[in-house]
Amino acid sequence: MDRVEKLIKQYLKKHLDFGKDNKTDDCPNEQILLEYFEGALDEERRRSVEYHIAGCGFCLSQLNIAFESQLMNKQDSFEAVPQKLINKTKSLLGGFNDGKGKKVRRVKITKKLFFLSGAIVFFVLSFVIPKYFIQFLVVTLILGMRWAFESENSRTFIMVLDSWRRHSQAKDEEISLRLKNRF
Amino acid sequence: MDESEIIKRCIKKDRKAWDVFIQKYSRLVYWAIRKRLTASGFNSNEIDIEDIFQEVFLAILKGDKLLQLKNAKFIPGWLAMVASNKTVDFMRQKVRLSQDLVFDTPVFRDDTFEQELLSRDTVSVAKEVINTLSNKEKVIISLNLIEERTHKEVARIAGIPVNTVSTIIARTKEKLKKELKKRGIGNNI
Repeated sequence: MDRVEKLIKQYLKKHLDFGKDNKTDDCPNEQILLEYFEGALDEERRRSVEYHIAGCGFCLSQLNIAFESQLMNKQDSFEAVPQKLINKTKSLLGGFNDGKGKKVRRVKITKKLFFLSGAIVFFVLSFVIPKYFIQFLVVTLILGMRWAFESENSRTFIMVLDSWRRHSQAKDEEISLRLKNRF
Repeated sequence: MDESEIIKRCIKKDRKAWDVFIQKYSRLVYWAIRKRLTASGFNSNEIDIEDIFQEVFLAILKGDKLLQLKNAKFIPGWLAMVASNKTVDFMRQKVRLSQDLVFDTPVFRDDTFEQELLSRDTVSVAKEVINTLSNKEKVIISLNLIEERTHKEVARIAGIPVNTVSTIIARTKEKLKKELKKRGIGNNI
């Protein structure tokens, strides 16, 4: 590398946003960068992506990684990965696949419905069999409380009430974050 | 099972397809993580790499990121970028906790020539010259000098002929040399 090249390199590194890890919210996602790389973007989009890349060290290095990975993939020159790690990852992801996530959700819903229906049944029974009125009412109360605590909406509702009561800003933020995540 | 079939089945959250996907691309993801960590000069260990490795696949699955991919043919490049992106997230998270990250160390330190290079006048001329470049030209120069890609490789990435790349780089260097000489600075250049 000659001295002029060194000067340009040094300038680019120092005076543009050329930290390789300076990822920003404006950085295009992997698919857009890939489309730029493959020349699949329309002219207007290409210009805007290029404008960004020209001043972003992170995206530039992403392009470089994409390029190098395609090359290495063709040559099949990647080093081996411990099979133990691969198996660990497979089993980690396995829990989220094949509808297992749905199954877990279904179990939760069934559990909630069990508490709710149980509470209703015992509440009705307390009037049907007056001899055990208090006992049935206690069971109704326990099941009702279990239902309330199992329910995400109820938990959030309780937290909202609690927050209003205490006026804690940290708690308010936590709740608003939780509500945001829900939608 | 070909690549597009794997992707389609992975999107449908088919466990067997995911097993094939992980097995097939594990080496690429592992490479991309290590590449980014090394490029950033991040002090990492094998446990960090394993954490990131799992996080990459988990993020793709949970975020339905494969829906983003329009052509299964380009999965290596896409996956390498996703892995690299996740690695940066990991480094940021860790640096927030420990503050021990060493990013790009300065290339030049005790060299008097390098001090001359970084003098205010020299840098201001470099700035003037580089600011006259178009965005495409800036990308080309940066790929060549920062990412150390050959002219041929830059041409492939930027989608232009090799001759054009060589011309742009040579023209920029020449222009900078002339400007420096005109102003009587950087005589050693």
